Amino acid sequence: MSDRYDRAITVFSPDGHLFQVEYAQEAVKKGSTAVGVRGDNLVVLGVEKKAVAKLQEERTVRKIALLDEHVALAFAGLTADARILINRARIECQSHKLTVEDPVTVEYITRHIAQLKQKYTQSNGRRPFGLSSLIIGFDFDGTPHLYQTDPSGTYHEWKANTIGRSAKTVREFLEKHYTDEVAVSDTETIKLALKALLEVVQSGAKNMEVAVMRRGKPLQMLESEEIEKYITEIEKEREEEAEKKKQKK
Amino acid sequence: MATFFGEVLPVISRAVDDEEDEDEIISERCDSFIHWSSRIQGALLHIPNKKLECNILIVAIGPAAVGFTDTCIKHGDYYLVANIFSGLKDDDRQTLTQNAPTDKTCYLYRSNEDASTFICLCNMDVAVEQCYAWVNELFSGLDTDDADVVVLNTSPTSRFTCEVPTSDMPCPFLRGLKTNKFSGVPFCPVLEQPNLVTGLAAQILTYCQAYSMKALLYQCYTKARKLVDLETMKAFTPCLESTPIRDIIRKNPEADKQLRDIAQKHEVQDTLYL
Repeated sequence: MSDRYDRAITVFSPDGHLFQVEYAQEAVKKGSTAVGVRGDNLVVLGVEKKAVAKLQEERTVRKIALLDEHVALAFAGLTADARILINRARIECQSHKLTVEDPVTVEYITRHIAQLKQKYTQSNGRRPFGLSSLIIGFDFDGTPHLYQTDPSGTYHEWKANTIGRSAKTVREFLEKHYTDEVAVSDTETIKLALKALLEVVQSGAKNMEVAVMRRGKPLQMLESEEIEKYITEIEKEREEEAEKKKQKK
Repeated sequence: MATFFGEVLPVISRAVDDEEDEDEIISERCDSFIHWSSRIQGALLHIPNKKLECNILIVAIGPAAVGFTDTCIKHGDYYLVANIFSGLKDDDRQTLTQNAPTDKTCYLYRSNEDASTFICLCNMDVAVEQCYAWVNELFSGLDTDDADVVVLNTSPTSRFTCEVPTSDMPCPFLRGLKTNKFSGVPFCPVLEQPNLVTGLAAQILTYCQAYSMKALLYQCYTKARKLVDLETMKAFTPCLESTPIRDIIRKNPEADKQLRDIAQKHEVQDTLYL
């Protein structure tokens, strides 16, 4: 099908494909699911945590990284590529602060990351970054943001979105359940992220990692007991709903 | 070459490196061979054609098919009857007991309840040149004239050719292929041309076609790294409803958990993608 148009990254196929970039988007699907939900007063990142080997240090297997005090990123795809991208983004955050004496806005750092990714799709002897990222944070005027970038260098702002394995299923779930009422309540926003993750993660709290950023506060990683508490609540709600449905019948 | 003094010296050309011949790595793979358990060896002595009667033979190839067959089909009362050896590569690692899901092993099991039911779990990389011997060895001890043979195999989606790009297809998916003698139809779509089955699965099907046996192949196309993950193993589930598998299985209530454990064992040290 690709007829060798996938050999060189900078060559279009006759029907307008850049195959290497499309293949990089496939690499993203090899990563586990990451979900981002934006509320009115907080932004939530939830990721599926990989089970680590018996002797491996869990601390070093992370999908969520802090870029600056007010910006965090979750990725799905090639781990090593992510490390490089995160480093570059962190340096840019610091350099921006030193140059203009203001912290970066979330859109600025997203654009910077997207620009870097795009560069790698348009020059020879390189390959695209095999990862997508969800970037959350607050601007200095206090507005919360959630951005998503992909290997081609495209970026968009979202109210809620997901990347990685089974992203389509989870996105459909978010589209169905995200409402303005959910965004108003902090707990509901966190719960929505968890519910979305539960669509694809089966083994519950021990395989999840949740990061919450509130206005003016540093990024907070939820403890697994806390996640467990939310999940019990979600399960209870679901049971109640099922009861109600039964009674209606 | 003779010098002025009459000595004969060996002619050395600087164009070629003579030492190359000495360093040549001899990469010779031995043929596959089957080793029957002592119990079966004893039993074979009393059978005139030296073959065990076989009505159902299920062959699982690759870690995903083996994981699925082990948990969902072979969880009943089976005992080990033979081991097929095809050699190991230098970097193949085995556990001491050689029965972890990640071990490169190839075992043949027989049902205790129905002595004519056999399951072969091949978790080993059988080289193309070994496939012929492998299949002959397997069938050498089995009387399969009336047998139903089912082969479960996995293949990467990138090898699948079709009009729509495979990235737009829901993965993993199954394709079937059967011999002429098999009268039914596979429950999933038949493998479309110009796709080819290769390796061990192809060799088994060829053997069955040549000897007019009933055989059916279910090939799972997957995007999983190393061709194994939970979804890939679960993709074989509809097979449990098909003939002849549905006649020999008992429901395994622990199947889900066991499959998850197997998937985790394969994935646990893989942090290339997060």
